[in-house]
Parts: sequence; C-alpha cells; structure tokens
Amino acid sequence: MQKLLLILVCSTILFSCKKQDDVTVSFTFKTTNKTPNNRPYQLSATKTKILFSNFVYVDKDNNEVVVKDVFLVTSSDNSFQFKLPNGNYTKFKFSFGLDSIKNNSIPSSFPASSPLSVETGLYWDMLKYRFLILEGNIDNSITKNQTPTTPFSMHLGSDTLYQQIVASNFPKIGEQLNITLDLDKLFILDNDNFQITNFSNHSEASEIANGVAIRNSFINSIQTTVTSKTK
Amino acid sequence: MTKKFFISLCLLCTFSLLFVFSCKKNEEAFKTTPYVAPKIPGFRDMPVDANNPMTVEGIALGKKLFFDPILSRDSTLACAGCHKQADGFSDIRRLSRGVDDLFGRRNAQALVNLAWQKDRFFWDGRVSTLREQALKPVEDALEMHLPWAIAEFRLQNNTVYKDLFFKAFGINSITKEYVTKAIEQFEMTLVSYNSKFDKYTRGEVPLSISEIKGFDIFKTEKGDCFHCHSSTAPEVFISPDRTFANNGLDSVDNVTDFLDFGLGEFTNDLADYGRFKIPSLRNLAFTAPYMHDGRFQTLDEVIDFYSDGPKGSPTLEPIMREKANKRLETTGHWGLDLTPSQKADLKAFLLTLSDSSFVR
Repeated sequence: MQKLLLILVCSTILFSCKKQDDVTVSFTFKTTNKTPNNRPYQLSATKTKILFSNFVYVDKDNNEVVVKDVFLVTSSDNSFQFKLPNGNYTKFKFSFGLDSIKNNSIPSSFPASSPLSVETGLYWDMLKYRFLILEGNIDNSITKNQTPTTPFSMHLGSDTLYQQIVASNFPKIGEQLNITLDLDKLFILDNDNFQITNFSNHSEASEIANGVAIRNSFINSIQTTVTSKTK
Repeated sequence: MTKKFFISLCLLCTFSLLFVFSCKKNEEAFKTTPYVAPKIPGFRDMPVDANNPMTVEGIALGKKLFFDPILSRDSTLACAGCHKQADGFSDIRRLSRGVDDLFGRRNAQALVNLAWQKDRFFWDGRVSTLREQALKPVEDALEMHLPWAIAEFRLQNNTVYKDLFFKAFGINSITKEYVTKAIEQFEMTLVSYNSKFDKYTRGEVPLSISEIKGFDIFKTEKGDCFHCHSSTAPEVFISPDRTFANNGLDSVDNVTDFLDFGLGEFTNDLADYGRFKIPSLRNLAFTAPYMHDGRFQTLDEVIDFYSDGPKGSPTLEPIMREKANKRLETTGHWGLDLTPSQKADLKAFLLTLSDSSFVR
C-alpha cells in the first residue's frame, strides 16, 4: 500500500513537472468578416487551413533547435506543445508555408497523421503544397451590404511564398506563445477594381505578385504574445 | 418420491448437457476469419471501420446478397442489376430501371475502391457510410421497392442465409443492420489496382507519348482536372479535400432553378444547390454514361464540355469560374479550348485509368 502511494505521488510529481516543462504554441484566427475594403465575407470552417513550418529556437551563438517541423492550423486544430531543450535562447522563429525541400516532397511518403500526407489534400499535382486554403462566400455586390453568397477560393502555394517570421518575443518553459492570424488581411487586394472571386492561386506568372502581396499583408499583421501557463 | 426426484435430476442433467453442448457448438461455429486487406504499391492502406470489421465470412455473405435479387419486391433485381461487374459495377443505361418499371433519378454510380472514398455517398451525399447507402435502394420505390421488414423476414426464413449470417456475425435474428454491414464488407473489397496507370506508376509498363501528354494536361492548369481529381490520391482520383462540386453543367441565374438540387437537397443549404459528389475516374472506359444524370454518352463529350467551358450559376465551383474568367481575360476563351490533338491526348490518359482485370 505504501509502495502504491509512493508510486502515485511520484507519478503526480513527474506528470506535473512534464506539464510545467511544456511550451505551447497556440494560433487564433481573427476575423471581422469584412475585407479591408469593407466587403462582407464568410469563411468555411473546414476550408480554412494555413500551413506553418520550421518552428525553431535560436541561441546566442545562432544555433537553431527545431521544436516542430510542420503544423497545419485549422479551426479545430490550433495548438501544439513541445518540451523545450535546455539552451540560452534569444529568438523564436517560424515560417509561413514550406521550404523548398519540404515543398518538393511527396505526400505518399508521409504517414496519414502528418499534415503533409495525402489525407490533408494540401498537395496539388501542379502547385505542390498549398500553404493556405481559404474558401467561403463573399458579397460581390457593388453596394457591399449584401449577405455573402458568391463562392470564392484562395489557394496560395509555391516556393516563392515561403516566408520566415521572427516572433517579437519567445516562450520559455511553462509559457505559451499566442499567435494571432488576422484573416481580414488576406483580402488586401479586394478593391472595387479587383474581384477576389477571380483569384485562386498564384501559379501563373501574373498571379505571383498577387500571392506575394497577400502573403506580405497577412504576415505583417501577425501578432505574437507570450503568456504564462501557470496563471 | 425418490424415483420422481431421480427422473427430475436426470432430465435436468440432460437439458443442462444439451444446453452446454449447443452453446459450445455455437461458439465453435461462430469463428470468423479476419480479412487482411492487400498492400497495394502506391496506394494508402485501406481504411478500416472498427464498427464493421471485415471478415472472410462477412464478405462472402455480402457478395451473395449483392448478387441475389432476394432484396427486391418481386425478387428480380439485385444490387448487381444496376451495378454490373462487366460495366465496372455501374450501369450503361443513363437511368436505371427499378422493379416497378420506374426509372431512377440519377445515373448509378460506379463502385470501385470505395474504401478510399470518404465522407459521403450517393450523388447528393445523403449518407455517410457504405452500409447506410446499402439501406436505401431496397426500400426505394424507384429501385428494389421492398420494405425492410419483408426483406428481413425472407432472409430469416431462408436456411442458407440463416446459416451464413450466423457464421458471419454470430446472430440468429437477421436485421437490416447486419445485411448492410455484409454488403458494405463486400463492396469494400471491390479494389481495382491494375490499370495501365497503376502499372506505369509501379514501373511495369511505360505510358505512350500521347498518354504522357494527356497526363500533363490533366495535372496542370491546361486541363485543370487536378483540382477535383488529384493523382496524389491514385486509389480514386478524387482530391482528398474536395468531395462535392458544381462543375458547371447547367446555366441558371437562381439556384432554385436547378432541375436537380444535388447536395442542396440533403443539406437545404442554397450554397450546396447544384453540387454533386465528385466521382472517381477509375474504369472510365467501362462506366459510361457520365455525370450524375448520365447526360454524356462518351468521354469525348465530357472532354468537349470542359473544353468549351463551364456554364454559369451562383454555385459554380469557384476555381472553375476563376480560371474561366482569367482565360477570358488573357486568351479570350472561357473554356479550356483544347485542340483536337490535346483532346485526344487527354482521352488517352484518362483511359489508362481503366482496369480490365476488374470487370471480368
């Protein structure tokens, strides 16, 4: 009985320590359901997906420690945890999309649980991995005061759009990094002369510039804060 | 008293022994053999359903039920009547004819590699599993038109089926749930993996120059096929993130003007009107006619349709509209505007997805 009690106490301590050591990265989708041009839109919850990768800590000697390879942010899966290795870190970085090595990998080489597997459907034969999928309905009227009924889809991908992001601060053991993604900023190109419903991806040369503009608008609006998990 | 007691004791022992032996016999009889799905190079592992584990006995029962007209009102029509193996488990008729000489509303879908088709079944996606799908045609007045209570009664009074159901599921009382579970198990085994394209991906045969050109059209924006029919999911050639689409078959200003509401009929969501389940491209050589209403008799007609361009409607697949608009701006053509040679190449590639060994 005493042994059992001892095991129980030890387990509790161990598990509580583990929890304490964990760092959490949590994403939040932010939307007013209006584009910067004040056009109403509604998103499909199941067709809102953004791919991030290469979550790394950087120490004072510029050594990088990868804590997460790839993470697909969706409405239902928006956070992950990891155990932070010891180190004297100065920065935390992560990236929008995939670097060219990952982007040129083959979906069937990943297990079904991976964001890069066939199952997630991020891969297109021609474009390779889509870094961002955004689908829903938008109000395409001139008055911009109607219920959004016109379907739109925005699919961004390709090596060109890979972009590293340096967090303004970084989480330590027992802390959580909160990353806010402002989806309104993805509609930066929406103006009275540009129909977002005519834009799907940047695979054609004429669309690459649009893709870059959207990515920059989106990434520049990303906000990061660190909070304590114990509070 | 002693004699009576002795007789009672003997009877009790006899019944007990009978009970024990009958139980033992049942236990021995109900011993299923788990089905081991084959590992197919280039395919993902076959998904398994814990609620209906596949067994050799269950599959054999499902196969018998699939080919047996016992589930139709006048015992003339089996599942296989509208899903003929020689036609890739599809129906070459535009609309199938039921036992009451009435026609169905939509073309019977080809059955192939169903284990990898997720989410929804039927053109309008009204059910989420194959066994739910199998429930519907039996009672449908346009199809087999038999109340399930009668179907269950017929099977229950059939000694062969009684035995088979016990062997497959260990049950003595046959219900529609187990009938459809068995059919689901059989349908899951309808796996096609020996098309020319399969052999090409396994390095067994080359594709012709025309077929390779067609594949290029298929997987690039020249053809734009890959958005809905991804070759990264070779089991079905349906993009994993896309189950339904309005591919622009009909032009309407208001979605309620569609003759067939498709998915919208099930969801009652206006955004789903005119959207239908994206079909697999496997075995196209055997599964004409095409589209939910079987309006195209040949692959040439299908390719011509996409080459000419989708028709406009409020729920037209956004990617199709976007691409068509862009083409209109840059080339002056709304459709893909394929040349005769490109059409021939695309057709040649599409035909490589057919597996003649599957339809024998």
